[in-house]
Amino acid sequence: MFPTMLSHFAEATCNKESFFAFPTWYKYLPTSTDARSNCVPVIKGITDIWLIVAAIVDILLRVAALVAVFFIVYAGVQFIMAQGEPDKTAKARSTILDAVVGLVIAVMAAALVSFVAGRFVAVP
Amino acid sequence: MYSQKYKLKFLIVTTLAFVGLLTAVALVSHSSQSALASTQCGKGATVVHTSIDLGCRGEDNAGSDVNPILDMLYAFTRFLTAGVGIVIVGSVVVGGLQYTTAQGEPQKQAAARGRVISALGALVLFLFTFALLQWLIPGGLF
Repeated sequence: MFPTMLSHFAEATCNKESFFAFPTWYKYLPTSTDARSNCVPVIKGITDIWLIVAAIVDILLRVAALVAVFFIVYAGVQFIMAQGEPDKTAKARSTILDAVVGLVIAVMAAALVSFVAGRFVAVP
Repeated sequence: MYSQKYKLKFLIVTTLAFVGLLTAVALVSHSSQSALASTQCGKGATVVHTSIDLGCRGEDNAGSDVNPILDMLYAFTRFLTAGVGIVIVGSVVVGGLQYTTAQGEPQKQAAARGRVISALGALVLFLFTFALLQWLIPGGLF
């Protein structure tokens, strides 16, 4: 029973999107399995570093989205707690605005990263 | 804006991370050397064997043979060129993160805006440099 569980675990490690909806660092690398069916990312040359960097940028994007959601919720709570005081409502409003603007900047770069990385994967 | 100490710390951490990544790549590539495409730079009598695939081709794009040093320089330039887009996008994403966490403070907003504008300026600079090199080098870089 235990070896079966272990092999299931090994298969799960080959999943490239598994960790808390974050992509893994070897997302854009080709993978192979070794004798014990572990997932092994294959690094062939020095230019494969950029594939790892692309995956890290991908992870950063998810982090940016999560942080933006957190700040919008946080500013919403601030807005509720402001009780109509102009200083506090202005602060909460600018926090929401900044969170949205930051998210838009990151997402516009997101459209670029998949394009750049995808083009880079296509060319050997 | 940031203190000198912070800058030094950032520089050291970045350098260590890059060296570590290079070492990891070298080790992994070395253990599976049979799968490598090309582990030699230059051609003929002056050929240099490397433990990792640096992307050397043994000739320039005009088709003539090059010596190992020039071959490595070409390979290094191709390597950096391949990474420009990814690094710039990463910089813009970090700028977006900074803007998200600015909370309406003008100083932090300015820092985030500066990072994004610098990244886009770097893209423009790279495009002009690329055009210049493509025109200057016989056969082009690619």
